[in-house]
Amino acid sequence: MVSFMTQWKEQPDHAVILAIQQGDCLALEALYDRYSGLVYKLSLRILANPEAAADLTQEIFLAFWNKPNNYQCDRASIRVFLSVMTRSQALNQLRSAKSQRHLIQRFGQMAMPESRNNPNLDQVTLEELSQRVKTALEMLPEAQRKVLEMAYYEGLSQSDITEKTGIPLGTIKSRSRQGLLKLRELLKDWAE
Amino acid sequence: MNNIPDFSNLSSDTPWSELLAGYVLGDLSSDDMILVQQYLASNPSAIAEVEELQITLSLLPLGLDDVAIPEHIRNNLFTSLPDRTIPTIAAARKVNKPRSRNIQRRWFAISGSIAAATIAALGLQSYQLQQEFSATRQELARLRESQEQLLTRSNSDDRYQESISFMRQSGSRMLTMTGSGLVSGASGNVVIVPEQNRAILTVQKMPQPPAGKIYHLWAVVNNQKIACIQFVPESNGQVLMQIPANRWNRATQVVITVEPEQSESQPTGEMVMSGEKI
Repeated sequence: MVSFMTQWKEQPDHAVILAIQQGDCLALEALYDRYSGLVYKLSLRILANPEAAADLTQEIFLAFWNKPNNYQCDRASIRVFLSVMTRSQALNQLRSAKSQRHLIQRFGQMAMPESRNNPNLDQVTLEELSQRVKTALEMLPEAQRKVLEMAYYEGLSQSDITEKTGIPLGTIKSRSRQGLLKLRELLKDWAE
Repeated sequence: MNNIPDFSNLSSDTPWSELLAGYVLGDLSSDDMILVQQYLASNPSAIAEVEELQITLSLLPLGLDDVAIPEHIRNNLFTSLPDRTIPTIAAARKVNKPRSRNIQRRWFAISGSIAAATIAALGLQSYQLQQEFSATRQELARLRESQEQLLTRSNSDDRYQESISFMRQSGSRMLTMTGSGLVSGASGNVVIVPEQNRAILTVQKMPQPPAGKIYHLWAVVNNQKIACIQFVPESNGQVLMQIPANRWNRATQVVITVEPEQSESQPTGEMVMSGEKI
C-alpha cells in the first residue's frame, strides 16, 4: 500500500518530533520505524520475555504520542530519551516482579543526560552508531563489560553484583568505572 | 563525631575520572558523593565530563544484537492510537519559528497545478462516487483533460502518485466544498480513508487569507464542529495536504472558516467554504 510515509522518511528527528507534537500520526509511524528496533531489543534484553517486551515497546510509543511534550529536544536526543524511558520502565517492571529495591536509584545520575547537540550524532545513522558501539564493547575487557552490562541491564548495584559473582566489591567498582571510562575513550567522537 | 567530610584533598592527586565514573554509575559512598558534588560545583569542565560519561552509558543498548520486531506491535499501536487535540496556530508558532504561514508544509502541501487536486478527485469519483457526481459530467470532462495534462508531467512526483493511490483505497469517502464570499470561486474536497484515520484536503482557487487571519478546516460529526487543521494555500491558490482524521473519520460535512491566527478550538470567524451534508 502506498502511503505518505515518504514524507517523513528523509526528515531529521526534530522535524518528525515537531509533527508528532502537532498530532501527526504519520510522523509517529516514522519515529516508530526509526527507533522501535532499539526500544524492542532493549526491552527484550532487560525483560527477557518477548511478549512483555512487545507490550513495553507499544507502551513507550503510546506514551510518547500521548505526551510528546515530555520530550525536550534541547535536553537529549530522542534516541537517548527513548532508551532511558525504556530502561526505566523495564527495570520498574523487574522491580515489581522481584520486589527489588533501589533498582532505578543505582543509575539515578543517568536519568536523562543533559546532552548537548553533537553534530556527529546528528549525522550518523543509527546503524552506523550501533556498529561503532558494538565494536567498542568488543574492545572492552570482558570482565569490565560484564559488570557494566549487569548493572545496566539488570539494574544490579555493585553490592548485588558482588553477592551474585563472589567478586570483591572494590574490584567490581573498579571494573565498572574503568569499563565506563574506557568505553568513553573508544566512543569519544560520539559521546563528547 | 564530625560527619563533615574533609575537602582539603580536592587536589589533582584525587582520581577524579574514576570518581566521576562512579558518580554516573551511582556507586559512590556518601562521602565520595559529597566530594564529587563539591568538585563539580567548582569545576564546570567536570560537568561536561559527567555528561560525556552519561551519554556513553546511554549508548550501551546500541550494542545489543538486532532482533526482529513482532509485526503485531505496530498493528496494535496504530490501530488503537487515541485522538490528540490539534494545537492552535499559536502553539504551532511557538515551536516553529518563524511565521506559521507555512504550517501546511509541515503536513504535506504539494506544489502543483490545480488539476493535481482534481485528478485525485477523479480517481475516487471513478471508483466510488459515481452516483453522487453523476450530474457533473461537464466538470468531469474538464477534469479528465486536466488529468491527461498532468499525467504527462507528474510521473516524477512520487507524492502526487501517492495521493492518487491513497484516494483510491477502498472505504474512502469524499466530502465536497464550494467557496463563497471571500473565497468565491474556490472549490475543494476532503477525502477520508477511515481505515487509516487519514484524509486529504484539496482546494483550488483559494486566495491568501487577510493579514492576521488563517483558514481553518472543520469537520462536522454529530452536529459538532471538530477542528481539523489550520492552513494557508500555496501562492497559486492550491492546497493539497494530508491530515490525521482520527477524531473525525465519520464526518458528514466539512467547512472552512477564516479565523484569527490565535484562534481557539471553536470556529468564530466567517464561513468561507462549505458543502452539503451527506
